Amino acid sequence: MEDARAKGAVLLCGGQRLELVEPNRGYFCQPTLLDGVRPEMRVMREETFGPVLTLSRFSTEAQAIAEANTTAYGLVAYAFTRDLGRAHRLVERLEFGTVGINETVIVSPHLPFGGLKDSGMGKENGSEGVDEYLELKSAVVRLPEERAFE
Amino acid sequence: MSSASGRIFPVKDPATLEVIGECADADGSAASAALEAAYAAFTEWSKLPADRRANRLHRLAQLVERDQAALADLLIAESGKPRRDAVGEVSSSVSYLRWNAEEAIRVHGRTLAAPRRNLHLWTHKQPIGVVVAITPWNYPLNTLCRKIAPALAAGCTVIVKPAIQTPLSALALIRLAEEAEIPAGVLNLVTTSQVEETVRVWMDDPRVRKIAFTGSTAVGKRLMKESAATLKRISLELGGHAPALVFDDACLESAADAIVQSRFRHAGQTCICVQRVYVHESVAKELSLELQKRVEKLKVGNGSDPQTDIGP
Repeated sequence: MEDARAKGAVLLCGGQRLELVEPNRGYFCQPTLLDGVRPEMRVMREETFGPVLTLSRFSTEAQAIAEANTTAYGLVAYAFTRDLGRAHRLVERLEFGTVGINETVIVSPHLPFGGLKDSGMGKENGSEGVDEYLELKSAVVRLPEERAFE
Repeated sequence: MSSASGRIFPVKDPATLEVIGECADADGSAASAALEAAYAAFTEWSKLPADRRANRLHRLAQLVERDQAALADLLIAESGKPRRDAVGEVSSSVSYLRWNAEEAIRVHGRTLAAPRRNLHLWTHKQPIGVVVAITPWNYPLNTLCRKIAPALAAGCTVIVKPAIQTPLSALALIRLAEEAEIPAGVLNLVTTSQVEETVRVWMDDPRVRKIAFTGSTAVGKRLMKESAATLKRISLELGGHAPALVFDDACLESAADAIVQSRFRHAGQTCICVQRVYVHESVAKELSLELQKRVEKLKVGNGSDPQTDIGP
């Protein structure tokens, strides 16, 4: 967060560690919103496992897709649009294992789930998820010639 | 679970830093014992008709549902997540157990066209063998059920190694599995702080046929490298850095709702949560106000408080 602010990002809210009343002595953070975030900032490349959300602007669909695809991670991407054609283009062009359109709740037992690139390999869930625990074996059985029974 | 050394490690509540339990600290010989048990149990379990394995999983799902309140409390205590997230995690865990129980009876192969009339060709599927499931602290119960449910449905036996921060929900699940009459050796829990030593035992042994891992990209890459010597199957669910693209034709209010709900679930410690928003410049100001309005309302606190949106 300090890296992003030093490079010009604007803090819209949050940004502080919180001290709560006893007995809550653990590590609590304010939920944080950062605007004007650019690709060279660390917060855009490294997984932020905490309550920090970044905002960046784009002018064209192609630019948005290119920037979304810049990280090595490829687990999930989301997009919000009412244009059906665009929704289908995004599903195809975003390099992520799951793409959610107008929805961020995307994991269910029925639907295969798994990442591309540095987000992993293999699928969990769905019948593909069960296949991960099965060996597929092939059988070739030669039967006696039919004339033997004539 | 006992450890050969008799050592234990404490488990702390991340909100209060109080010790809430202790677990056996397994060493290499305890890891070997778990592997022997899993390997021995495989013969029987893999040959059990699929509908019988499905029945055990359905029973386990019922028991998790019966104990949902206690399991949610345990998840709040060991992971710090807010109550509604913990309750949601238990119910999704039940859904994984149920769905895979149903799927157990639908495992089948294919019959194929043969190049000669006296040949018959077909494929069939068999359980892969002993599986090691390594799970993270952010969704300890959910990620575990996502692995053990398909593994047991397929007929595999499993060694479970939960994260050191969150072994208590895994321990509770194993006890329920016993109550569900899943036979001894089919599910084996190894709680440990000696990760190098225990995981090494499994990685080196050719009887472990699969590693199912959820966690960091760095550890996932290392497991893949180490599984090469015995060519284990490996599935890796690693980190994410999810973008959310908001176009000028989107409904900004519902986009803001969905983004804030996703980003701040379990204090942003979810691999699928939105991390970066890209917004079309013509609606950027409007969306940032909508987001800010929602973020400022989020309440930080102890997960056991029903008002809490964000825990430690």
